[in-house]
Amino acid sequence: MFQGYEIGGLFDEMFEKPDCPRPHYDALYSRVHDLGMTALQHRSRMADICFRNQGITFTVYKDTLGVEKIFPFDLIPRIIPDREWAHLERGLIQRITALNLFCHDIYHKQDILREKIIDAELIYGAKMFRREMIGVNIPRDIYITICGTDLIRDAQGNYLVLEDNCRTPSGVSYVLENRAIMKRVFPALFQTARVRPIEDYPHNLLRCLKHLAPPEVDDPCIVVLTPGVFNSAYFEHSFLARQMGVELVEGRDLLVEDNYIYMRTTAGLRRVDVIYRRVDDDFLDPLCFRPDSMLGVAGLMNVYRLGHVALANSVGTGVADDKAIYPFVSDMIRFYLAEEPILPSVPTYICSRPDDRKYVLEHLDQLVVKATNEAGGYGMLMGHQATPEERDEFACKIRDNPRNFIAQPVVQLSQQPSLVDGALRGRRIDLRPYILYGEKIAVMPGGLTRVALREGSLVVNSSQGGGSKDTWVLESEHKR
Amino acid sequence: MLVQVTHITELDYSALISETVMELRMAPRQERLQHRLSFVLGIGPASEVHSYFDWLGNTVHTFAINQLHRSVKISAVSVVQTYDRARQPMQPADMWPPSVPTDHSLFDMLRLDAPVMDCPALTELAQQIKPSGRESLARVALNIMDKIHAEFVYEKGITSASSTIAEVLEHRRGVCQDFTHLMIGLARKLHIPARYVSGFIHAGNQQFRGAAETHAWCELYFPSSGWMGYDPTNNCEVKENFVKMAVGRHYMDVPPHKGVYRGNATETMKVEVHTMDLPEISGNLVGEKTSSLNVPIFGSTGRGGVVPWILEEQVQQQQQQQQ
Repeated sequence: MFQGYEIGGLFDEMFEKPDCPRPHYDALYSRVHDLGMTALQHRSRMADICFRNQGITFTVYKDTLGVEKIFPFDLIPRIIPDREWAHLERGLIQRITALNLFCHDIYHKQDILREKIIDAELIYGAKMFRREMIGVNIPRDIYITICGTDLIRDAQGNYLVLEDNCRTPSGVSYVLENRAIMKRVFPALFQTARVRPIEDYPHNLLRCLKHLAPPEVDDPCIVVLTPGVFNSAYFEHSFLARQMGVELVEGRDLLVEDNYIYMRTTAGLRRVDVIYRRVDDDFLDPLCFRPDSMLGVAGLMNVYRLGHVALANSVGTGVADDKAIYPFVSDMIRFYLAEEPILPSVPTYICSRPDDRKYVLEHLDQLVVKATNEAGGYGMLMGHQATPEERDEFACKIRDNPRNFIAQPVVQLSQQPSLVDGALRGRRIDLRPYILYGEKIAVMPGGLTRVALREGSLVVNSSQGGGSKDTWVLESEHKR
Repeated sequence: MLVQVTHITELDYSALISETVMELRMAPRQERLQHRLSFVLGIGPASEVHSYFDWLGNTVHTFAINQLHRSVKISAVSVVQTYDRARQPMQPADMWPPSVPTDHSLFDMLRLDAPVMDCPALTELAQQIKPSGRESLARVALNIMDKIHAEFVYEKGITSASSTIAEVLEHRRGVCQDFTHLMIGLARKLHIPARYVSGFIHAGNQQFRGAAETHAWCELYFPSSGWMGYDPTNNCEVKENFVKMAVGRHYMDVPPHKGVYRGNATETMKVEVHTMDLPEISGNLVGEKTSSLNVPIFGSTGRGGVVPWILEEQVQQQQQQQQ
């Protein structure tokens, strides 16, 4: 089964060395071995059909050959042993705690700027810094209800934080669907493997949203606000609304009256208490932000300011996941929590700093350059794989607008066996765990493992041709 | 000076509209040299008004009208006591080049952004005014104003409310908003924090451009004396006959009214401003009050009503990036 499988100097999730699986992969290794390639491919096709029949899709923009795609699913799960997970969990909880305190500080006292831990110009120059949020008090001081933090592993197997997604992280619906389909395709494996369940995520999300509702409201009305059917994550918006049993609405379904938000229903107007919004800040309220937005609710920010409606996530959290502010998250942890960061970050060059910029421009062929406010793998240069023309083009962009770019050394992501063209091959993966901040902070065990299906590729984003895998966090031994 | 300002805004629509949501920045600011004694706001059709301070300390009034209507009327009457800045003599210590501000909220007033954009023509003009050595900040401010007065012509209809200073520098013509943006741009180019002011001039028996309408000027930050007003449109320092409504980085932070509505109609706007000086504070002066003006409504909209068509632009907006 694993003939010709190469590890090639990378960290392999499954194999310590060729044909020698790590202990937590033993059961899976034997199962795959016993099954044989023909049966494995058969199950892979079964999984594909399940995805297609259930209409589990995402949208790739700027693709002329139809935009609805099936998110490629790879059958070989990623497995994380319980002690490793416990470490990640502590690190992620520490991180979201600090990021949330940072948001509150930036929009109130700005101690972190006063103490010169972060350069004020970096904040004031951040595109997602929302001055409209200065001095605004929000329900329970929770800015980041849902956070998706991307983790990678270097060649030694150390986990590093690649970036945080504090605005509208997506992908959790695929995690849930991957698991559901995996259970249908490999029912026997789940009976023995002690995989921690994740199916309570929608329930936990709903509890977090209820936690934000005004205390005087007994049975709060919660809605999911989507940009609409043309959004890449529309499937997820409708999936989560359905799973939580709440309404899925667009901006035009809502209106402001007497300083409250109402939803138009067939039975008249109904007051809305909490909005899980998957619409960007820019489009949320045409009165406050982009006046041409047709997706938002005019006057929403005024209602929010009064505390008459709660938003998850809050407005202006983009200041916390700005890629030029990312290198300071470790300092935030030290500043707000007086702790050492549990999870390290990737070394980052900030192009707005002259010395960093000079280094970046001289070493473009060795670096990954990223636009500070983009997501989804857009606006990015993989220096070592780019053509000289592409590098020149980026050099110009960096010189024109240095605040807009950061650069990082190329981290060789860990690899995991994946089924490619009828054989098992090593392909690079990352991990996006989902963290929910409610009454307490809880991390969903596992998360979305994304896989770069092209050989040698380091870009795992679904919009750039990546796929995904089921992620198993194992129960601890002594719990049994 | 005791000034009463009557500020009437009438918005008429070519067809019935609904769901008007508006924000007003019409209440004169409470400041060191300006005390708002009375502010009476009337809005029609009748609507519940709520107010708050925005991040710049401006008073904002907001309201929503969900019933069908064809016009909106806003009347804002304020009585303001103003003082001449001679009460706060200029400190000789304020010299150019100014030190880097320690108050980081001033960074916003140094950034070239939105309509106050950086462009080669601005750099060139700033070079011509840049002092060769140490110079009093007040002198530099006057030099900027002189330069604008000498090289730019006041003319309506050339620029629009959304014009940037690149357009003003190209046409060499504009109105008070353009002159103000330009002066802000030049000051920021010379590292002097500068902000936009919207307000009124009480002309009395003098001649001022921008009297009897809403006006704009700017303020430059002097480390020892604070914000000092300059009116590049009238080429003068701001005196006690100026009444400030709101301040911001540029016009987009301070429009006296802004709003959105639902409906397929075009808007026509009429704004009237009357100012008069009062001899004394009247005994029955109202502090703050909102009232309703008699503007008709035409029943309620269908509350399940939705826009039937998806426009191409909407498709593009929906395709925002997901993280």
